[in-house]
Amino acid sequence: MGNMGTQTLPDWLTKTEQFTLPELQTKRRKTDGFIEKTLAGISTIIEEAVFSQKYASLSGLLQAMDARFKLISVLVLLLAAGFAHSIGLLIALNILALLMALASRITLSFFIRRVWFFIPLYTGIVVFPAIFSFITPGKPLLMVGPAIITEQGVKAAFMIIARVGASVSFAVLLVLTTKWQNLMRALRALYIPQTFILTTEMTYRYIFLLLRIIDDMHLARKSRVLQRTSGSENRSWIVSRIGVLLKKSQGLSEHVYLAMLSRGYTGEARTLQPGRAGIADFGVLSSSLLVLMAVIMLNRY
Amino acid sequence: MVFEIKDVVYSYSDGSAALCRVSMHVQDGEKVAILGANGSGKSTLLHILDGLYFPEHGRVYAFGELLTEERLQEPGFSQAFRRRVGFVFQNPDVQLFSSTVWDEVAFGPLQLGLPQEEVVGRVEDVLSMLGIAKLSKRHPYNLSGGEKKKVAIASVLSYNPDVLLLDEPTAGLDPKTQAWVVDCIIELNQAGKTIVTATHDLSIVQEITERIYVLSEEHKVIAEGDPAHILQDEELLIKGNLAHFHAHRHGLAMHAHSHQHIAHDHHD
Repeated sequence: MGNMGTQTLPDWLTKTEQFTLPELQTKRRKTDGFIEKTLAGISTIIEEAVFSQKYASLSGLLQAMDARFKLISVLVLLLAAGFAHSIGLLIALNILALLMALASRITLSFFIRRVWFFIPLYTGIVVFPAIFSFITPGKPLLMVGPAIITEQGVKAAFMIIARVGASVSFAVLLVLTTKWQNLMRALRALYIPQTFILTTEMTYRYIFLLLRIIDDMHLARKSRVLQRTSGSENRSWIVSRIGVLLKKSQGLSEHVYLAMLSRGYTGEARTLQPGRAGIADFGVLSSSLLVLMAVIMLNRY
Repeated sequence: MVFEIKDVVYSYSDGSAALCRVSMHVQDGEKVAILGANGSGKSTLLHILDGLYFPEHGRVYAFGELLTEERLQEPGFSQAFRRRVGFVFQNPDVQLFSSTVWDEVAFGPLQLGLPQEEVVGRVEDVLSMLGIAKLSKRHPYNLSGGEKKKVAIASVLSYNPDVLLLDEPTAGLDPKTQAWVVDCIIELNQAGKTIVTATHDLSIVQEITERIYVLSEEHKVIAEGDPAHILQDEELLIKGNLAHFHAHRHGLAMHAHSHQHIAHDHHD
């Protein structure tokens, strides 16, 4: 055995300690992997949002569009969803979103899951009280104990859910069918300040890097923890790692800024001019405008 | 003269010393290495040469002009200086901040005001020259370490600087990519570029440099000379913590000698 510089290995480090692995227990202990699950969850969401180009790479209606026109078309359709005042129109907009998903070769079951999984969870909870008479008075529909569900309340709640559903559908269509970099380029073309876009791009870029650092820190700790740790130990470890991560991210941001300065950045990012749009782009944009006008007209009836 | 620095002193924000009265010069077209152990101040010195850090004491001249924070705030001076000096950072993740490889390579030329058509042409040329054209639409996050290093080099070459500052260019790379980086440095120097490399990798020094500055752990220049002399001076290398005293057994006998890792000569 050689030595390392002027130090020699202490005796205990040269001896092999014997440990036998315990046999498999029939009754499995419940594992407490909330940190892993949370980290994996965040990673998956960002990875899907930024790096997954599964649907954006297909050749479908929306994928073929120039990202700038697609962005404007979606904004117009969002306005239409906002202006629609009847359940029929909102259902029609939801069906339109489904048809656009089909034309863009997005699997319907995936699309519906993506849109309708969170809506009942969030919007549903928020609008739930509105179905009762103490929020929305009106014609009684059903008695639930002392509370009365009103027809007007159910209608109002349904309209909000349908409107959120249509809006989320259009937004999801935009994100699923557009490559991240093209979406950012589209924002540039709409005169969104360059600094804002650059910051957004870089946020996504470095969130992932920081997530990897957290994951490594967590795994490094896990590999050395010999016993189950208590909740308070876990919490205190998490708090300390948040501090470390903040310091690391600050250091990283300073170095990134220096790397930008070094390549001529002066506070105003310059980018390439966007390319030209085709006839199909104008077609889809015109159709979106027609939908908006139709919604406004039909609201009167 | 490309760079001349005189008596430069620099401290980190916590007050610890990074450079103590460092003087050096770099001639046009030279290959110079700054050799030093971890924490000796090599990276800080490169940051000073690139006008990113400014010394508390001493002077820095670039292309015969005094390099100060005030001068770099002048748009004309700043643009001319940035176009002439390119810095490849040690950590590619710091340097690759754009959403695609293509955007990353285009970032420098665009900021430095090159015409759009020329930017497009240069990006395509550099990507194809470095054999990374197939990566152009990829997100930098998904690249391997070697690919990231190539993109980092491409992102600087695209605006064709006269001087390249390379911070630990072979750190963390596999042997094949290390050899590629060494060949790239030699080729760029032969094309007339001035190369300043900060490294502690003795295995590449002979190939990538014709003059070496050795920084000590006390953040001072302790030697300057050609690689043949510096690399044979065991006492100097041990003093700079670049070589170590190595002991091992031959049978029952303990054998000790100084030890360093230097590449074997390459033969065509």
